Amino acid sequence: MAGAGTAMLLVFSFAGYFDPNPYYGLIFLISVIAASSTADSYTSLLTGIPGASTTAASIIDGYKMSKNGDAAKAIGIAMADSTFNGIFFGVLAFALLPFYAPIIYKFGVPELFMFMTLSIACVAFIVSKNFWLSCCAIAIGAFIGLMGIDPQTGGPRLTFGTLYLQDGVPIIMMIAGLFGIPELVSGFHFGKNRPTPINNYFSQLFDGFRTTLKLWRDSIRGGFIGFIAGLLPGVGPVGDMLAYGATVRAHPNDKFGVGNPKGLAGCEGANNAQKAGSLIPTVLFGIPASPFAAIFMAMCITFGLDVGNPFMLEDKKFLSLLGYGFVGATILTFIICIFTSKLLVKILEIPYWIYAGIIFAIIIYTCQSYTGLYMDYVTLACCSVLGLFCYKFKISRPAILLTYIIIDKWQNLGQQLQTMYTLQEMFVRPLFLVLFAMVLILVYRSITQKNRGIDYA
Amino acid sequence: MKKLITSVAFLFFMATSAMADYTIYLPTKPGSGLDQWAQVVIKELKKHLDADVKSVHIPGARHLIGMNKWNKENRFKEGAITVTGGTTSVNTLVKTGVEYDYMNWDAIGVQLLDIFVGKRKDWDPRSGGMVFGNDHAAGDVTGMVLMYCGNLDGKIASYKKCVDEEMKYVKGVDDKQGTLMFANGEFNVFRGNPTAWTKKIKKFEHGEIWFTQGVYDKKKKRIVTNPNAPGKDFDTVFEQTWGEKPSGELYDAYRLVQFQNDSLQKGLWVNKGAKHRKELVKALKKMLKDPESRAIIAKASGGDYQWAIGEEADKIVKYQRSLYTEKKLKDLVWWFNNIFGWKAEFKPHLLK
Repeated sequence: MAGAGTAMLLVFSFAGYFDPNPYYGLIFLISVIAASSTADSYTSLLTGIPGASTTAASIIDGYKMSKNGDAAKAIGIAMADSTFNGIFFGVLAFALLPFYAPIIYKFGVPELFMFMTLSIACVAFIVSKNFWLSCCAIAIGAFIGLMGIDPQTGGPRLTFGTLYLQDGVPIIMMIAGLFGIPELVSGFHFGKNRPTPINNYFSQLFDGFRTTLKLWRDSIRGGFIGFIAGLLPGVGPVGDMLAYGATVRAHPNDKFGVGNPKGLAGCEGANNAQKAGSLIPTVLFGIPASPFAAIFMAMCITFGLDVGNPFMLEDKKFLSLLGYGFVGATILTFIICIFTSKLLVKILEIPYWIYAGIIFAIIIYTCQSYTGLYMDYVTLACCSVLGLFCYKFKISRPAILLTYIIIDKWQNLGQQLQTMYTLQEMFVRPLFLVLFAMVLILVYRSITQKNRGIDYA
Repeated sequence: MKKLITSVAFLFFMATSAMADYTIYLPTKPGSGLDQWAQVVIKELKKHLDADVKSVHIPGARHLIGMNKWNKENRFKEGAITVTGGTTSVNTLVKTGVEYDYMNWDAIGVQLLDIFVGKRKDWDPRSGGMVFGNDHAAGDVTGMVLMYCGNLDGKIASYKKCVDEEMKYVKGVDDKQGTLMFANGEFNVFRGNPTAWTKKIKKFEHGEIWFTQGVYDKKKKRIVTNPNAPGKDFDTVFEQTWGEKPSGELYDAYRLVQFQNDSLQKGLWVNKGAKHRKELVKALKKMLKDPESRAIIAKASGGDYQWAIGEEADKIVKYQRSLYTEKKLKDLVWWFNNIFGWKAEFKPHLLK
């Protein structure tokens, strides 16, 4: 469902779950997470609307591939990449669960700040090629991202006196408005802009699998970045964008944003790996690294599973079901997707007004479920106007989204850093220094790389 | 095909429009601490209610959006219930934009809870250098300052000097980040409700209880030591540390906010005079008498804490209101604004 993501799916599906056995409940939850992590790419690839905030990067090259007539190939890459990273990092996460605590403890405020700075630096690789338009995108993202309650003062910031904005602009409105509505409108306006129906489904799909195999380095790099991002509270949702930035950086001579399979392979698996990573601090310490993880924890507790403390490691049944469930559901989803994707691709053959109507209804339904207040519609409308404006004037929407997600956290961590540490204290922390060096390299390369920026706005 | 679409649409309509007997409005996101508690209680309550309870989450602005909507319209709906947390309760004292009032509701029940404050074992408060945070729990943080600084000269302004000169107060830290900071040693003090304490903070090897705020005893009508942490209540530990009883302007303000936060930390409410209250109170009583349900709730609440049910809880709200004075409220506003950077305001109407 466009924009809904794993968190909302968990809430919906929970309403229909009745079995009193907590372990069945666990299997149910973990299956929903694993399956939605693979399936939420479909809307990104076929409609240009991210299925979740963690698949926003997939649209940059994935949706372009669909528009270029390679929709099934894009799905093939997404499926293979998601499945591979889901299995690999799922096994890594759950088999090595007892060893993660020391790693997470290494991340203090300086390291978290530097990790977020790394994310900010990645914006440089997903902006458009025009310098001023790029600045504009970052400024817009920062302005919207800073709306809400100022974590430093507890008072409202940039809320224009409205209570609704004290919670910030909801991410679901940002995704729907920035990406969903502009793609739908452009479909009416420029009929040819829509992805073309495809006839050679299976040959394209298997071509996608083969392509992923060839691009295994990009795939595993993306998965690794997503996994690490998943481990850190607040960083998880930008894992795919970080992975995309890393892919662009790794191929300085390639053009991105035009339907480059490397761009898709580099970020798609990050989403699945991030899910596996996020479950680690959730299960061990009760620190949910992402919104879906908070809901997972709440539901586990409702089922009677005492998630959120290191003693969960003693419950072997829990651990094995968590691991087997995640990996098993990922494999099963892959098999199901091979056959059902053909039906989903048929969406491209539906008359456009029906197709657009359905997508529009889903967007409205999803957005109005946030608080049910009229402000949900107003916010969606404002985000849509912004999205259309950016679409028309080629202002990078991915850059806006990434800046919007991280700016508040980054600014807050920066102020905490000032309160707690001196420069000397920071520069004796090895992990901080490593991350700092990475930021410097990234900034240097973003300045010197001739081919920086992407052709997607 | 047309028939099929019509049938599916009809079934979908039937399924989505099926009315639940009760609807619980939660002013928070799914997965929050308050939501976790509420879902467990609802699940147990349903066993004794023989009715369906649907959850509606209305998050935003630290409970303000959901609770204001409750005040304005949701509480008048048939079968409406709401759940409140410590934040909901403390908001009413000093926050701007609060339109709701506990006096307009009838309680189903409130759980009389506590807040645990932990410290690192290797940190001695007398050695100085307290590093702490978590400003959305400003009342609990105030307790930390009091315990660290002692009675001073009894004037609230003196505590600002103590905070500025002797400790590092880190702003903008939420529960998630704070837990991690306590775990990795960046904080030497951290707080949590009984659930968070039992499930998370207590499990860190380097941590130990410093003090608890204490629980409200509805018979004695005062804060007493928590049976789950005997001898660790604020007043006892303070006296052991400083050789005198706690007192002064800040202590008075602290007790006001602490009592309101902890005794109303987790509660279920309906609109004033709502017909369905009786049935819900009956079910809650049955639930609390059922050992299995009680054990499940105790596990989710971090211990077997007492409840004030129905009118007992209403009396607590009224009693709290009787403790409000202009001096205490103004001190609280001054403290929150000057220490935590809030934009709190004095609300004269609370004294009427």
